[in-house]
Amino acid sequence: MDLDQFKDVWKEQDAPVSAVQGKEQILAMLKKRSQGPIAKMKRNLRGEMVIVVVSYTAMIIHYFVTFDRQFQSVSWFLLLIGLFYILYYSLKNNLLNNMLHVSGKVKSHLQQQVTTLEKFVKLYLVAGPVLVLVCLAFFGWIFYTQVPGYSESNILFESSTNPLWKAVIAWTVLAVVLTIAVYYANVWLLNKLYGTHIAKLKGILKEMSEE
Amino acid sequence: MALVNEHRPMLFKVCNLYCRQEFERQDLFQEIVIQLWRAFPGFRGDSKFSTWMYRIALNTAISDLRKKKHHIVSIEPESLPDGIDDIDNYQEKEEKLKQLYSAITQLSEIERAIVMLYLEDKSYDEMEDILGINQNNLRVKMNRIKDKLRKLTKAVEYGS
Repeated sequence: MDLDQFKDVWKEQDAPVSAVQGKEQILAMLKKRSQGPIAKMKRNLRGEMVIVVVSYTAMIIHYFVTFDRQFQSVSWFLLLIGLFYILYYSLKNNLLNNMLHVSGKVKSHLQQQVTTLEKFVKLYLVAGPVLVLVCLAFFGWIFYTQVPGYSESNILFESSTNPLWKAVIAWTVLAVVLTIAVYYANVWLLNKLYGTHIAKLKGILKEMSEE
Repeated sequence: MALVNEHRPMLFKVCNLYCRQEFERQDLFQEIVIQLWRAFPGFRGDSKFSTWMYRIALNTAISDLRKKKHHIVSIEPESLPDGIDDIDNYQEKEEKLKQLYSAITQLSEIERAIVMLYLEDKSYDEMEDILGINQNNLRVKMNRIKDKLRKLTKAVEYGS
């Protein structure tokens, strides 16, 4: 096949007969939601934000007014986590906004996509285990200080029957197991969601750089 | 809007290059139009409008996350466009186009983009401006692509 022989036929081809014919149809297209990957990720992130705001607000109110206000500290804790979530949300949203710029050269756009997607994935991977550790520490403290009798019969707390070193080991084991489990669950999920795509983009970039 | 309409054939060529199914082509076309619409306020005229448009179209097509179903490519004319008198000539052209697409779709994403720009008679300078690959590298790649296409065509001929 000699490509030069095909130049004329290539240039002469027009849009298919059934395809978009005029301004009205293009306008109709613009009214539809973007089905692009970044637009979908942004929509998912917004959905996640709504779920967090609604569920956290309900839980904060619940712990603030029930149990004779014994667990008000849970409300404050959830409020603090919620505020950190807003920070986390804006970080992720900024990363996605960076990925929306598609007018750069193809190679630099791909580089930016790979870097940003990797940052996005890293953020998920760090946030999950950190949240697990913070929650463990907080709820451990709550049970120890606010639920009398609970710590007496539990291996996680020091008591007359459970020495401190055993409690420390139990906490360490629980924290390590949960952190590793959450970390690898996230690795699996993120790999399933973005792994192939990142590998594909890296492959294209490698091909572009090869002489 | 008028500019999008004017460059419609180019957008469809990109869609044909990167999508195998009609519904995928329509989705990609819509996505490119949306991206062009969003990016247009940021167009400052640093490069030619067509260069800017090619960048957006190729970036949108190449970095698409959607999984594509693997089917044989089919670029079939649904009906004969108005004003075609010479049916034999038209069918010959369509056959040639089909042959071209079936060869191109065996290339990688970047190779397809390079072939497209080559077929559009873009200069290596402009190709560099769109793809971000230096001109020497582009020439090397173009020669390799031509070889690859020759081998692919020969393989099909011997196979048949």
